Amino acid sequence: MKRVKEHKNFTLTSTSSWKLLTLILIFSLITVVLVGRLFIIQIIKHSQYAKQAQTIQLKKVELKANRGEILDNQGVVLATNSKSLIVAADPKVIASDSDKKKELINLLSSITGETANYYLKKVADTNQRYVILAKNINIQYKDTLNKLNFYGVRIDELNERIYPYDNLAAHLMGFINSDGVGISGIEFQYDSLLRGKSGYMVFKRDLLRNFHAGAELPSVKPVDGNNVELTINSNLQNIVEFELESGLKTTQSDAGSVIVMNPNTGEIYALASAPTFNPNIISERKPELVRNRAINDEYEPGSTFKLVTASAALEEKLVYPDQVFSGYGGAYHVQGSIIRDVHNLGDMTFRQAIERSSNIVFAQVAAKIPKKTFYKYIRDFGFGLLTDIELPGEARGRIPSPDEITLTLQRYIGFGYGISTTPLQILLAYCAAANGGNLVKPFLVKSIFDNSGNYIYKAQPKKIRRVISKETSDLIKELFTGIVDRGTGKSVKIDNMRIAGKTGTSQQLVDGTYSKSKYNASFVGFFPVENPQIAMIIVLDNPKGNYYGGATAAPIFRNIALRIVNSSDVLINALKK
Amino acid sequence: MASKIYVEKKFFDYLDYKLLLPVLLLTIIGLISIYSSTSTSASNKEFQNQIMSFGIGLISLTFFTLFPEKLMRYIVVPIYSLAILSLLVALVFGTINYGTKGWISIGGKSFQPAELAKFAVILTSGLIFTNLNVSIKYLRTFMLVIGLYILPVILILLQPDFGTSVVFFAILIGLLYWTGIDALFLFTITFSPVLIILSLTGNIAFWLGIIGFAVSVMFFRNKLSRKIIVIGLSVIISVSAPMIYSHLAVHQQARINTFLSPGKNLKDTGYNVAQSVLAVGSGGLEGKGFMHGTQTQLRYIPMQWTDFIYSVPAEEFGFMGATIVLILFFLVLKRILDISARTRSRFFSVICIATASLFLFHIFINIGMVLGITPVMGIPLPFMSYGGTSLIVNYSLIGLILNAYRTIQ
Repeated sequence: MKRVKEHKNFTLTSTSSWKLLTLILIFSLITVVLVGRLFIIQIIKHSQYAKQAQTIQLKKVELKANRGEILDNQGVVLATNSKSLIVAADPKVIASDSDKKKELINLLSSITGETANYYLKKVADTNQRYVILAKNINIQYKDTLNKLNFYGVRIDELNERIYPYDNLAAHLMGFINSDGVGISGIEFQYDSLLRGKSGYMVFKRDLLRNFHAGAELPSVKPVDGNNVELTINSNLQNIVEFELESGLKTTQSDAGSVIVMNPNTGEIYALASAPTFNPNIISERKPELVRNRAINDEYEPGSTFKLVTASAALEEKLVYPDQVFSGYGGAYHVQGSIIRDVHNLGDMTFRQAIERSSNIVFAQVAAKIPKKTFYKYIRDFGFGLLTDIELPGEARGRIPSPDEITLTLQRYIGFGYGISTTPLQILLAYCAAANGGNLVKPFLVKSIFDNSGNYIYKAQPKKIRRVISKETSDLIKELFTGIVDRGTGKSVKIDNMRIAGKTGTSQQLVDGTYSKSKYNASFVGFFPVENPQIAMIIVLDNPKGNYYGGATAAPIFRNIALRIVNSSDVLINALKK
Repeated sequence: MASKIYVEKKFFDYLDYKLLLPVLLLTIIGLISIYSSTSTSASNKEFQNQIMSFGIGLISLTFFTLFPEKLMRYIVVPIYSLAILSLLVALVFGTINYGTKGWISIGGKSFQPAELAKFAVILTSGLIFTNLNVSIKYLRTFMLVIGLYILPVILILLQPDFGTSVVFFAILIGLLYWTGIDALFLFTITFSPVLIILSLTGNIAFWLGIIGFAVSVMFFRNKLSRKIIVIGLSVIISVSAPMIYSHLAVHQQARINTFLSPGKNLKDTGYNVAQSVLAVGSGGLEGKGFMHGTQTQLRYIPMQWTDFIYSVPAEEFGFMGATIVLILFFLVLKRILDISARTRSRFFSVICIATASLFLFHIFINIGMVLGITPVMGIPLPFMSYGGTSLIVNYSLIGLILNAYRTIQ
């Protein structure tokens, strides 16, 4: 105690030992409070905070799969994807960092060629919070732009579906909507195969909203969509569309369609519908333009249907080519109905009736065929049935049931009235006549393969059924060649190329009655007759002036045929056989 | 014999490892945390700066460990003057960081005069009480001490840095307590801020607080008239607080609101608190591992390496790491108190207590803030937070305490 007094030490006076004790107590208390708090948030509430941290820090980002391409039969890409960048900025935020802002603007103007002032003006108004600075920037600049790492600038990747040839085969391609879902055409029909499977990646996200990849985080790679290879030949498609378009102009038709296919295999080489549209332009996607008239529209075929009547009668041996029929002076009064020819064709053989397209003779021939037999042939040729072509919205056509068929109706059906078909169905009937008597299945898709080149589908030509015998087929070919050589289809004639074909002109049904002013004109045929390689149909809706098929549709047929003949190795090879 | 012993004892024998070791460990944990929360593949500027400050801190520590007590009087006044001068310079020429004008930039390095001022007032307090004739019970001494503290506090409030100025209040309380101020007075000035805060939050807790305060005052051995005056004044001050508050500008009110309820305001400081609690909470028992704390590595806590440094070990080393840090701090404080009890020098005794008050306040407020239970005052965690001036000053204080230990031997 003496020493204490000597030093007058604060600590060792009588009162200071409890002071010290108090201090240590306060220290301990505070430590306990802090450890207690740590225990509460780190041990008791740990899972809650861990979960909360994860929702802030982790961000699942969808990795979109690339949609598959659509190609023609030569590998020409008809539908593909284009990736581009959109750069947008928040003028208010980027104004705070003038150095980086300058850097960004210089970079953008070096990429796009716009002046720096152009961009400065865009970001001048700091009241706006979102301004798109540049669109359609090549994807190659992605890393350069991202390296800026500028908070307040958004760089978005835009994945667009592109149809490089615009209108070409537009009705076959169809298009996709903004969600990437196929809406029409092949894009719709093969949507699930084209679309692929999107994957995802979990990123760590920091305070500035930058993403960081982490090897430990789950991710699933996207599986790109499959590519669809079509049987379409884009060169031919181009020719067909051009000829159809100019044919529409000269005949002043409202609409039209053309199908070109291989009658032996069913491959469709070209399929065009007019009016057409550009799938790259959203405003052109109007229903009346998008409708594929070659398969979605039904019409009464008229004279082109005479092939079916002739086939059935010849196959059943109810008629022979040189059998003479009465022309009834151009007006055939039978059972209260009048059937007329274009003009008085006089008495003629069945062969001549075909060449001159006599409705009166075909009405008589049709009446000879037993009702059920006639119905069977119509069915066997595929009328009233879907062809199952790989396009959406195909029309079935309409044929009366055997119970509905009266003798009068049978006469009318004999020259192509009273039933409705699609252009494709008529063409398939001609294919059967061309290929020796078999109905073939038409197809548009040659193969489907993934990005590694593995085929997941390869089309095989398919014969559906034999409709007529080889002999009848040969006879029909012979008879129908006469139409082009001497008859109503003379305007199609090409030197050194034998073409079989038939014109068709039919009154349109308007409000249930046959119109006297609106017609469908058509021409359907195949060549070379010796070994048919090409079958083609032209249908025109409401041509003006001389509306007959031989004057309107036939020239289009000839123009296209000429282009094919002049350019196709296939045909030359076929002719040599 | 005695002289022989003196010759054989060397510098390291006088070192108090029980104090120095936890301090060094805390510094190393701080360095690791700074590295984790700031380094990028491109640079680790903050880490390197702090290493440099650490080096200077060790030199400063050695200097103050060896500096003779008798000569202290010659450096105390210059240091205090320098501190006041630099505070004035900061107010006039200083640079603004984090909204306060509290930094002086010299040659690319910035220096925080307020930290030096803490050191200066502690040294000066020690010096005042070296004189045996001095007692805090004399009005003259009391006024001298108050004046000594008021001067830097005013200059710091002008920056304005409310948090740092409160630190001086905390040191003062510790000093007054230790030097034997009237218990009622101490009790009153310690608890009036509490009453004011309770009054501002304005619920039943305030009335309970007033009653508790009044009852407690009655237990003191002072004259009844004094007690009644004390109670009356406290009630008037605390009741008038909300009236003053309602006359404040909106942004000042907002500042007070954030101060009173950290974590409620999800913008600015409240955001920081919410994120730091998330970092600590998600750390769990064992932590996420060094450089693997997601909140830290994804930089969710702005300026984490300064005031929120404690969240780094808490997230990356978990409850165990966070508790070890707390234990180390406790050991440091406990050891300082031990030395304060054993030293024969009134100078060192005061220094020890003032330093302990300083550290305790910093530790409690800072860690409490990281854990979301104390207000955000913007004061650093000793030895761990990034900041050169603070680290060097703290090492100088440890140097003085080691000096005290050396003189005990």
